Amino acid sequence: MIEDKIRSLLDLMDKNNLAELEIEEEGFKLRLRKHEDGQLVRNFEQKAMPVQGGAPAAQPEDTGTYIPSPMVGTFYRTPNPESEPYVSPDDFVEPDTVIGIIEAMKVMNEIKAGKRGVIKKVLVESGSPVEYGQNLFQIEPS
Amino acid sequence: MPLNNILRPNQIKQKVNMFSKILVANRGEIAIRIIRACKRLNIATVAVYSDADEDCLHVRLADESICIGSAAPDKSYLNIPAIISAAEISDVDAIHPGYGFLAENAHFADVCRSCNISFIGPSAEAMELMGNKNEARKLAEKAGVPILPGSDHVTDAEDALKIAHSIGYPVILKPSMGGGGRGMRLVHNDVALANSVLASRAEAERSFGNGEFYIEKFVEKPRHVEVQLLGDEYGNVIHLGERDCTVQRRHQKLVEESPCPVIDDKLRSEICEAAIKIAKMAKYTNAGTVEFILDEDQKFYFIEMNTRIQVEHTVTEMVTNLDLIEEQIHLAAGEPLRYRQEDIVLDGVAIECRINAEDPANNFAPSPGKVELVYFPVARGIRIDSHLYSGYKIPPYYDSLIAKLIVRGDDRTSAISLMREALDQFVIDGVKTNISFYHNLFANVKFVNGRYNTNFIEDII
Repeated sequence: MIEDKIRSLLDLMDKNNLAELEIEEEGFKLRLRKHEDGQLVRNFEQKAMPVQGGAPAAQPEDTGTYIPSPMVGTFYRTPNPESEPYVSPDDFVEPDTVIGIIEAMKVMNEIKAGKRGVIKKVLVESGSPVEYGQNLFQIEPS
Repeated sequence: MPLNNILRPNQIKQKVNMFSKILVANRGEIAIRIIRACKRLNIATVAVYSDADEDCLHVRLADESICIGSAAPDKSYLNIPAIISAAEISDVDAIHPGYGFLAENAHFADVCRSCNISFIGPSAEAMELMGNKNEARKLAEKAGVPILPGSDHVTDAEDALKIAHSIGYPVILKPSMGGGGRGMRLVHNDVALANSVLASRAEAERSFGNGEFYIEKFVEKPRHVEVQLLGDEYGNVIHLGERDCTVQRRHQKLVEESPCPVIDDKLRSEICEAAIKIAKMAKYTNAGTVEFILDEDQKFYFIEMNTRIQVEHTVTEMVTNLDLIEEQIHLAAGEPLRYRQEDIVLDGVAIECRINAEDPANNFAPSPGKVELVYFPVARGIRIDSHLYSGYKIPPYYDSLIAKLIVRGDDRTSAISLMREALDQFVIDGVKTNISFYHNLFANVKFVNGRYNTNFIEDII
């Protein structure tokens, strides 16, 4: 995985007291540069360079359907700590089905599915922060 | 040079705790500006962004970033619950609102406070007081600062007529809750007044949620002079000199410079002292700017106060060699002012141009789109605050400011010369910009002479 590679490169830099490291392999180029105060500036080139064949695995092509978060806050799968989750994998949902709660500024907002289908995967753990547009569930539309 | 050992320890009433993480409730160049100041202070940063701003540079430069809503400002950058929610989940100590958006929203400042998050700016009370332009005028009068002949808020057309006659035409109708030069109406006679009263009230109601307006004498050939202030929580206020923002188009500032080229040290001192008097009377803290009008007889009058950091704070930074955003952060953390008035020295001349993605040939219509190539001019004395990069797609939902070009010279002539050089070498391909407009402006003899007023642009276009 690319993250592991970058982490080991960062270790390499630290151990050898390097300020800058550039590495190029087939279809992939990476430059890491340290600022004087030791902070790393993320290099935009990483995003611009296409990752091809032999290189660390690219993201699998995304053809799934998802239920995205309509707001930013903390996501809960259950109405309260003792209850069962609103929905779980293999549950059928309608657009109006409540699939979770997002807490923002002490207000608990019920989140509706907005789609019809069967829940395939839960993508966010209960109690985790979520941002606007972040996928909460993968759903098989019907 | 910081001299806070001047204050005796018992003057500092509370334990000062510098923030460890700040959320930047803005976008684009000012968000980057704030992030930069935080990095210098070793404070972690959180950027918020709308889904239209995924590729905006401030998102990449912050330590953390949170998408808070869809493109429309009211769903994202003006969305208080979303911003506070983002602040909570990222566990920040403070929020910097930048300028525009929620920067002068007293309710937002209040909400921050009740959520135990520091708001980097003045108190909600000071914002509310000075945010009502009419109340601000009354306060200035109480402080003994000259204000333009004018009225309290106008009740009806008959009232307006009486006021206009006592002041003398021309007069200007101004919404009390207005700002940014919007919603003002110039009136030359009784007939126009009758129509304008109704229109003004309706427009103010629509734009600012409050139909209240007042009347002021209109100065025919004014210059716009504003004073930068910093205030701490211990009652101390200092000024950082003045800026001249006379070159405007439809009340939008186009060029800002410091110092003002047409006032002497005595008048400068009077204007700056007047600004401090007003700020102290308003119990103002953090950064703020007091605006004045200078008439042809070099008489100055208080107009309004901007209770935020401004776009053109950069100009003051170039001549004082200070970092105003850093100072804002120190002040918000409860520190006393780090400078006495005598420590503030203005050196040289700084000028700023606001580079906008707009088409001067098409009435300055906004020109969003993909910036194919950007090249920033570089030389000693040139500073650029911008979120541009080659390949960046300027979204259509927000204001058209894409870069601030600031120069500093030892005098106004060399500053103007440097600005012309910088404009010449500034490359922005792919969208229309107002750079060509600035080329013409800086070659214009009247501008170079420094003798002009706020009608200057309309006169030369």
